[in-house]
Amino acid sequence: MSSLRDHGPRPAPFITIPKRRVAFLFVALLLLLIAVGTRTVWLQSVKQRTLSQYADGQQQNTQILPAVRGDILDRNGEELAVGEEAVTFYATPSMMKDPAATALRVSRILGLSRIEEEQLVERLANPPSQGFVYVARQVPREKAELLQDAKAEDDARNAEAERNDDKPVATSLTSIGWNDEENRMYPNGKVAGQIIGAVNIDNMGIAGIESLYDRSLTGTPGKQVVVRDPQGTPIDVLKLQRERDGKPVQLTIDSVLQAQAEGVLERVMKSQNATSATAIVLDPRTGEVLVAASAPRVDPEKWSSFPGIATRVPAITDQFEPGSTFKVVAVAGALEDKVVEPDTSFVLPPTMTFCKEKKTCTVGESHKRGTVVLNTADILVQSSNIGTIKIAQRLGQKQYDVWTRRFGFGAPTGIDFPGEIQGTVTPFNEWTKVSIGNIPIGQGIAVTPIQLISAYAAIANDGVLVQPHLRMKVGNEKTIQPKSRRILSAKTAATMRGMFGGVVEEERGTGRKSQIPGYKVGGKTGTANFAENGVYVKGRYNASFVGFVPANNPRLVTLVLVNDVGGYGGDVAAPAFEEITEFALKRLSIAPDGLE
Amino acid sequence: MSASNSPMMAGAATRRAQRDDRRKADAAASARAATKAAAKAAPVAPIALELPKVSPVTAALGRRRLVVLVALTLYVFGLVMVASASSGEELLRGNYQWALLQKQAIYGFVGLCAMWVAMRMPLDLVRRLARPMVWICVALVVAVMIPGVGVDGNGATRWINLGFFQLQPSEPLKLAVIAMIAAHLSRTAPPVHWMRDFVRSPGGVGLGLAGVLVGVQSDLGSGLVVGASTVVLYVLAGTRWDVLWRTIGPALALVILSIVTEDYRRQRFFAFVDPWANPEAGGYQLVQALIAIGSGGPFGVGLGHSVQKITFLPEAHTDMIFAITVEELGFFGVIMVLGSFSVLAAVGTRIAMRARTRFSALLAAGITAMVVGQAAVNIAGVTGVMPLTGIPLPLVSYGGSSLIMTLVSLGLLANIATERRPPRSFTIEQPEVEAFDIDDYDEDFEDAHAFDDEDDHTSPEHDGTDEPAPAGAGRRGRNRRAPRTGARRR
Repeated sequence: MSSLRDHGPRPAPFITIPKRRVAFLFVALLLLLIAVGTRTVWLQSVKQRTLSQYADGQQQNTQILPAVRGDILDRNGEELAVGEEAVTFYATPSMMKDPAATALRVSRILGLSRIEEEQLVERLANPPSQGFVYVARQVPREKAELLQDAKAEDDARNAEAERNDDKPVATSLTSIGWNDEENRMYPNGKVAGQIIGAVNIDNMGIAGIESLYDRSLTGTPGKQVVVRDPQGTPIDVLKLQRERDGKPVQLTIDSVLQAQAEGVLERVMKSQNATSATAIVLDPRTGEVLVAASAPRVDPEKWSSFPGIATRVPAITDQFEPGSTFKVVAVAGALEDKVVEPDTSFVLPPTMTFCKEKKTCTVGESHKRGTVVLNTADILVQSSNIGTIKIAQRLGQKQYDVWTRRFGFGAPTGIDFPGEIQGTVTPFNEWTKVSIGNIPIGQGIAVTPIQLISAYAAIANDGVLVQPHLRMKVGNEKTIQPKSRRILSAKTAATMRGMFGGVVEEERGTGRKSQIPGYKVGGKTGTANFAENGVYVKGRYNASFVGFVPANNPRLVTLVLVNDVGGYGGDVAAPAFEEITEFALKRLSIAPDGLE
Repeated sequence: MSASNSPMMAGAATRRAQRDDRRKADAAASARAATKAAAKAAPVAPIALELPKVSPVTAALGRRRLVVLVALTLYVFGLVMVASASSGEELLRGNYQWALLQKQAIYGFVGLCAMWVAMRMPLDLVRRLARPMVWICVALVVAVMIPGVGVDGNGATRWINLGFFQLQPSEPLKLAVIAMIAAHLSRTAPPVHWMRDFVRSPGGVGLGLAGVLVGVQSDLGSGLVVGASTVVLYVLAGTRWDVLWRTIGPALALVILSIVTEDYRRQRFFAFVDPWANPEAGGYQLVQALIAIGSGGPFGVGLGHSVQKITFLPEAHTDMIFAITVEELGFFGVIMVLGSFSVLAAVGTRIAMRARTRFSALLAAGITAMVVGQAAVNIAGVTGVMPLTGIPLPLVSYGGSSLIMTLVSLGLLANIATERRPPRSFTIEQPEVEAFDIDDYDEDFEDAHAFDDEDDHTSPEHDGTDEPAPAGAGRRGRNRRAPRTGARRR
């Protein structure tokens, strides 16, 4: 203890210290403690609300639990539209050290194209004011995992650097976040593209079935409130509201038939140099649409890259002048009203003139001939314009109008597809002098293919018109019985079927090219002048064929319409009809009824 | 009063019995005094200086045990809060969840052992050790600045790695400076000249060290504690106020000038005024602390349920532990912490008043001021009343150096509480003093030597004469509490 000398002078007599100053110290300390205590209690009580809001704001995160969008299936359960797991990446560029370098790194990892890469660099380098930017949307799972792994690696490296007080990685991906999304996929590609429609980037239906049944398909997203750390890593779930997945929608479409029909149409369109083509196959007994094909085809995944006209479904949303196929109204109406019989004979001059002013006042046959005598059946079989007009004249304008509407023309069929139009049917009291010479032969009137095929389906279905529909079932709901109404007696319908059989089979019939080996086919050709911008184009036609098979007990009704071609319905549309229908008969194993 | 004849031999039981008896007498006396005062109609009482009388708790435990109890309470409470505040983050980092709890428990064990020693250490030895300790600590503080010796943490270099323990030399320095200055002031008359008696004395060393800590090491907290402790000790030693101002005034002016003139310092200093102005950068820590305190509400979110501690609030288990405590426990946490420190303030100052020697009185007051002052400054920082200084909450915050040194300090305080007689080297031949037991200590005797006022040290009794005035010789009657004294003189 020698080193611990007692420093300084000997102890002084100051044995105590001033009590008053000690008291002063005590009071000072106590006042300090009371002051900070008061401040704390004030923060806890008065400021509790405000500060709690701040706390919740930074600690809690409400996450949307996306509901899986329902699939769209064909009648056999084949997937037409499905959701694929995908990841959407976002970032706050202001938190990045070097946004451009980060963008390039992301691009390399995700394998973006040059244009996409440039866009990404642009987005990250010049972020909008709110600072939130999408890095990549709906990246497929496998690619997304590469980026997620890279980010995790960066995080680890930066944490390590922070511990060692080193510089963090400049091109770090740490400020990138993501959430799971669903990428809508169409496994069958372009098949039934227009019917299925499309979704936007947010998986909202924007066209077709995707749009019509969007509510059912979407489901209800869930919500969860999580407690998170400053980096956003969830720590605990406070509130959870489970998501309800969307319901699958099953269509009446048969994707195999649809694909085949689309193939046929594209080929016909190409060989005939047509602008577009449409085919519908209907089950006349149920109104189920088996095929609703349109050419050119579109890919739902690249919906926006197609012109608007291509993404329409002409079978439902477009009208056309039907031509001879429309003669069914005059003939069936006259038979049902018994103003004519199948063997009632008519003397038919080469032309009929309804007014003197214009050239169009004169109506003739498509193939020039002299004056002939034909009965009702022959008129239909040979598709005589003059004969049909004579029959319509027997019905009278008013009654003809009644029959037009009874067959469902001039009103939407009510098929479950967005954007159906009603066609253009001039009421009889607004007819001009020439109307009686045009409308019964399908000119000066516009219908939709679905209206036309429904009318033929009614004849095929013993006179009962069943509302056509695309929906088989949604979720687990029971199939809804479609509306139906009788428009013809079964007898008249049978008579009509016989006549339509003649169109295909008889020597002079216009639809001979629609014959299907082994089956009796009934049908009607149609050739109408093609109108462009309200003016008929000479030598260009809408060639169509509507038919049913087997003719005596029809199971299928098929319509083929090829727009803007040089040939007639019997030459252009009938062979396509044959191809499509034959394929369907075999696929559906419908027994042959023919002789051969 | 059966055993009162042999006060020196009296055991604790005897003393307690005496105390109990005396308390009854006290009560009776004060009752009598009250009636007397009422009869006199106009009693003039120096209210501000009326210190609390012996509380029932003190009476039951004794101040020594009360100090130990407060220390243990805060330490155990701190363990719980350190466990709560650190475990979540450790777990998220992939470490062992209770790693810091374990360490703090070990530090606490070491600290309690050191406290046990400090409680039994001759105070004279403390007095003698003070100056060498200061220089050892100064050497260590300087050593921290040598590259390779100091260990970094939170952007500052304040630790020395001893392998098994990271020592923060500024912590023992605080106690050493207090002991050194107390030792110095116990040997001298109250300073009367600012240069001779203050600046060119250990007081100047204390202020200088504070300056070095703040200026060179940017350790604002430790510097503040060392500087403030120095000033407090000089105040308590009876330094005239004008001397104090002459010394501290220029220093304060210098500090204020340096803050006001430098833009970044001013911004940093005043960040606490409106932390919301810059909640992402300068105000971040304070904003997060305020959010923690406020979001807990009056009843807290429950022990262990704080979310703020999970990386939102930096230093949640060290400097900011009060915020987490209050977030989780609400008012209870406030009462627990502030109540404990209030008790410590009361007991500590009381011990200082009743201390046997001037050294122990100054040491007790200095320790009390240091510990409670640090608590107040820490909480003031956390609640945004004053700038954050980096001072931990004593005994509660995680950190070995602070915990051990606070426990040692409180050990010394407890030691002083039961100091029996002046140490041999400090013996004043004074039979009355020898004969008195601590609890029978005559306050009039004390009063007679009290430097109640600046004027006092001009009186002849402080001129260095060895002769204490006889009991009851205080010149000024207003400091005499007649009823109490009367009671003592049973």
